[in-house]
Amino acid sequence: MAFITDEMRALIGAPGPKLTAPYPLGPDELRRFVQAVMEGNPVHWNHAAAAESRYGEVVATPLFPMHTPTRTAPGGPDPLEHLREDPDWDGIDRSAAFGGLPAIELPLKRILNGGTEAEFFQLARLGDVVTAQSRYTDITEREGRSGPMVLVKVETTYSNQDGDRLLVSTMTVIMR
Amino acid sequence: MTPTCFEDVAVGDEIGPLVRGPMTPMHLFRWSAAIENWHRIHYDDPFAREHDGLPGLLVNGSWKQHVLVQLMREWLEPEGWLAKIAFSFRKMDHVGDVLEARGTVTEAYERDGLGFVVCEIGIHNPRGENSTPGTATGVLPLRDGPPVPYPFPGLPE
Repeated sequence: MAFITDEMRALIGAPGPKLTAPYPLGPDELRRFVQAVMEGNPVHWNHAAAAESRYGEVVATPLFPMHTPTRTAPGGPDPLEHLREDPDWDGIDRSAAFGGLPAIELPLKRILNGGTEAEFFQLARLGDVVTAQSRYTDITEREGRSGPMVLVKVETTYSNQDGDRLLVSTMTVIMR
Repeated sequence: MTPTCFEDVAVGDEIGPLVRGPMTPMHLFRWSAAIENWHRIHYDDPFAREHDGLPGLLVNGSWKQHVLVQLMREWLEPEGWLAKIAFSFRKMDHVGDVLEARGTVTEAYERDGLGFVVCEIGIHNPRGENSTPGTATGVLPLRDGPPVPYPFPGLPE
């Protein structure tokens, strides 16, 4: 069964919207993240340690910006409203899964994070406003052990308010 | 041992281990809350079993990716820089698992006055699986060379 249409292929390469964090990167957001990820490097919270490092000031971890655009903006729609339509909602916002790009709608039930490749240029500092912009770089279909699966590659460039690149990631989203 | 320069590294050197766990629902809950991820299979055990047919709560891939970054940065920094990382989520890790991240240097070369080390990395669970295999590229200064530039301009072609 062929899932991938010409319309989907036509999406490859087109840049999506620029998604900018609603707030500058704050110390409390970073604190909660650092504790949850059990990060031990004090450059992520201690100003004196950070000042002596190459970073010069407190910075986030390399992959931290990946989580910024998926947060609910203040006053934005409540993601839990999905439960009114579907009490069995699995909790995945399918539009957010594709970095704001036009969603790829397929009659496949499960959506999985297949993995990521990321190249790092610099770390976000406290006060930075992170912007993410994505594009599809590949959509392929194959027969998996449990039936057909579609692999979608989404490349995202994360930048700060000065337009400096922080990292470029390519995430593989698996639908099956 | 953390290398201070490229000459301290040889192909075959071991990185880590970095041990996390035993993982509990509290670890997963704290992570999902910190990043506002509502995916139920990470905190709603009946849903994970009944709706998705899973054996129980799954450790988030989004969390495991940071463990691999920590493994590499604890080894490379402060002198080195993690320039690139790639990993795929191949196997499930569960509540109760002790997870061990480790790596091995597979390639080391000099270019443009800097040292580059390519490593195989992964997260090993108690079932003997590498749930998250991948590769990482680190940059180190040469013994008598300049520091690794920051911001890092990107890997040479």
